[in-house]
Amino acid sequence: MFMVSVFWLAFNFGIHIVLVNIIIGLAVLVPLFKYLGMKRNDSDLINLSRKMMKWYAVTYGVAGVFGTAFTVFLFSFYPFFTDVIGNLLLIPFGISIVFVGLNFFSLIAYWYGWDHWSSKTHNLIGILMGASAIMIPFGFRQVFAFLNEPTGLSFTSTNQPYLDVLMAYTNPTFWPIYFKSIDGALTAGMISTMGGFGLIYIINSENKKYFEKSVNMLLLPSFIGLLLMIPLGFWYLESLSGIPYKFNNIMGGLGWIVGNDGVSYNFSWLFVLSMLLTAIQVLALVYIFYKGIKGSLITKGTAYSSILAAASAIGTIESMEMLNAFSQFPRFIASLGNQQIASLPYPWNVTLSSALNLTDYNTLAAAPFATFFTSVMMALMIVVLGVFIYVILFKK
Amino acid sequence: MVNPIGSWVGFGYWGERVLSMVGIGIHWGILQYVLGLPFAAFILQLIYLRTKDKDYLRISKTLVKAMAIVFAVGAATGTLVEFGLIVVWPNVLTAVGKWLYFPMYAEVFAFIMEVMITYLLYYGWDKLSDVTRTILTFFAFIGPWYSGAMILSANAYMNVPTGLLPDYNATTGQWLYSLGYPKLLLDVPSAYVAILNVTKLESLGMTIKGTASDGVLVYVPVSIVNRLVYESFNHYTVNQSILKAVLNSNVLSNQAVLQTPVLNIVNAIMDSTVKYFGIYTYLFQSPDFIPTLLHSIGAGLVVTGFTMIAGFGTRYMSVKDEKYKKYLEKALKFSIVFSLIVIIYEGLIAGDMMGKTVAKYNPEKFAAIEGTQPGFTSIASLLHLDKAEAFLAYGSFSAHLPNYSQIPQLWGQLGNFGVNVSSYLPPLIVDYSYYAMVIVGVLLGFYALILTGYLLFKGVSKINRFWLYLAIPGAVLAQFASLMGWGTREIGRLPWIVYGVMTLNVGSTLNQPTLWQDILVSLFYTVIVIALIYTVYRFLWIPSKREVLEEVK
Repeated sequence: MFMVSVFWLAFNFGIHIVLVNIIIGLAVLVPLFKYLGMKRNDSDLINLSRKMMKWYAVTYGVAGVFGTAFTVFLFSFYPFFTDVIGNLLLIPFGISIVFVGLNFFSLIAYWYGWDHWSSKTHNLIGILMGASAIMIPFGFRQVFAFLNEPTGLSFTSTNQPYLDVLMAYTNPTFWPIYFKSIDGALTAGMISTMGGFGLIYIINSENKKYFEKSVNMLLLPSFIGLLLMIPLGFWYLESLSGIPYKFNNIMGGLGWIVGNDGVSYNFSWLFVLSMLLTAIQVLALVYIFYKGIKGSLITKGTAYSSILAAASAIGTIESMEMLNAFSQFPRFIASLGNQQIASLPYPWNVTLSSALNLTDYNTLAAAPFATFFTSVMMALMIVVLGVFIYVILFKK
Repeated sequence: MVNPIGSWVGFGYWGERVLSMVGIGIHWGILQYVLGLPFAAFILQLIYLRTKDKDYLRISKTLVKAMAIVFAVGAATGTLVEFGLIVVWPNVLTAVGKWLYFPMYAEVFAFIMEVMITYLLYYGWDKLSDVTRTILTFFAFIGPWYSGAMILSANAYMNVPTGLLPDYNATTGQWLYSLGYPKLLLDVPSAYVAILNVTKLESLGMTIKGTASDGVLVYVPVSIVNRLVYESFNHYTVNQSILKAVLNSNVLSNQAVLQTPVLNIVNAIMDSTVKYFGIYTYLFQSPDFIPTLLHSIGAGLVVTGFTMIAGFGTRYMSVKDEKYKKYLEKALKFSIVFSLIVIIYEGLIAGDMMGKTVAKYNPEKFAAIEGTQPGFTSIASLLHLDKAEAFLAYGSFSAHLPNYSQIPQLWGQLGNFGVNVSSYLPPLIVDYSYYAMVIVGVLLGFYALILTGYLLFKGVSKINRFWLYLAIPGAVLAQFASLMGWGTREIGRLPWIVYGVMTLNVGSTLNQPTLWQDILVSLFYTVIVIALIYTVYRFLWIPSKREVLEEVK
């Protein structure tokens, strides 16, 4: 069943979330490398950091664009769902908004102030940049956890809903998804960085020193990060076992069923795909290790290998996020099926029955010309983006 | 004695209102430059293409550099505003998403165009040919104007919903509330018409305009619309609704009808109304759209113009290098002429259109602006502008300004069926904010005229320093005037969020922000503004002190 609404949400979210992961990684790595470069008097490391900063700025702009597009599509296709989360989730959204703003302004200050601030001030701004990036998911992942299970959803004596924020942070799915996200973002950031420098090394061998530096700095940490994803991933999966509908859609196809509900939509193939992509990353990194031990760390082969690892890392994020989202289809809140919604106090049992259903979208927003217009403009936008990235990053 | 501030404060919902005023207010201030700077840069590049004088290209580059800095902050604050709207006014966003979505879609792409082109221009400046650069600069101002048009279409609808019949007759000076005005044209689906008692509806002031393909076109008093929207967002069913009183007797015992949520009915009516007007053009048909667009762009150009005078003029006063001085003379000359043209346009063309629209479609706001209330000291009456205002608004000196004191306090309420709004009278404080804007605008006009006089008769170098010292206050006042205009527009609509449709209490969040959240967000925005000012100082002002001209191809 093809739904225009779901397609556009998935399309924009899919691009946005991949870039956001890379951004979080770069937000931590850039100031760290700059600091280490200054401390070790290593100009290559400082230059590496500066190049990464340019990627970070461009990625941030593009991610912001798709994030904004996602929000507009969300409230156009699902206005009443937006109403529900808007009314309830002020604090988690507020946390993210504040940190998005802080991250943005520290990025601007760090970027434009590279040669202008004192080293100490610049480092402090860098710490703010990294810390604020890590804190953005502290709000957004709470929203995701709420969409798994609405822990903290409470009603006043007059049946007015509100969010008990402290209780919301005891959501069994929050901490696993948050830590998994941070580790995933840092790891993907590191692997993508190596892949990026591998690519520019292949394009122009003058960039060899950057590729070498990035591999020396990031190979081991990224490997550790990747290994850490395994227990964190299973922690998150285990936390989802309390939500049989979602869990079974993820694992049911592999024969792992919780409760009596069975599988509604089989998305196990996405789980298998993400495992395969993770395995490719591990193998690619092991290959680079092996070449390093053999004394030929920086070759075209290891560069291609790093690119493969980066592509797989991006693919892993994409497949994991899509799995997380689609495994609760058509529910906006995974643990709330019709039966659970019906047990909520009036009038929410009525209102939420349609507001929390992905198949109940705004047909006005799916009108033919709107779909045509969006498709044409999106295609145009991607072309412009390509030109933009070419001019900014590659054109001499 | 009338307390203009008291009535403004009295509408409540301060948690949400403070967040909106701070967030949108700062975004508004920043976007003035986003609207104005690239346009000025484009004109300068056209001058450069014609004259081949590289100084004009240098000035243009400086403006684009400023644009890149300001735009980044504007984009960030805009995104924060969008999120803010979702969590602070969720029901408004729901209505926008459901029925008014198309311009928001289109705005996404406008925003993307702005981001790409601004930074392509900034980073690619030296990599582009003259013609390519000029074309890009053209799109650099079209992008924000297009983006602004999309957002402003929603704001225009919030002031004058499409299909609104106003409630004031300026020829007789009569308010038309007793006849059910103001009314909104809605397309009621045939299925609902069949179960409603038309005679009862007509007695409530509804008038039938005709039929549409799938329903009946009805002018509905906004008091009824207001109540139905209130019931929708408060989860009423037909059984609890005013609709029960106008049902045909044969459906009064039909439980399926009685248990229908009012929201479903309003949804269906709005869906068919939007389709009747056109899904893609519904918002653009608001009579307020074109005046709002022209006036808002004009405000951006005015603020930009006077800020350019302040920047280049102040720098000019202390410059020593002759070559650099010549460059600044050209920049200042351009800024002065630009400012004079745009302020004339803003006052005499766009402002006039805006004023006439407010007078016709938002007469309550106009009455508050004119302060036609005994016991209230209005600026209009102090300056004896009543007749002039009547002429400007209605084209006749004998027309009557709307009398504020004759507006019933609960004019938007349907009999005893309230929506928890204690007063529908717009705050009289807008008299002061409006005339603050007008007076400052006129002063700025004279200021630009005096400076132009110097250009024409004596030259830039002969401008008396006194006038150049006034340049920075002039820029601040231009921002102030713009802010006052925006404030008048928004405050004068109270207690409505969407005039005649949705009131403050209906649009606000169930879980209102607390004082500490307001303070935190306000502090956050204050830091943003300070950071922006400092960044402009650091990256535009400090480098200019070196008096080194930008290298150009």
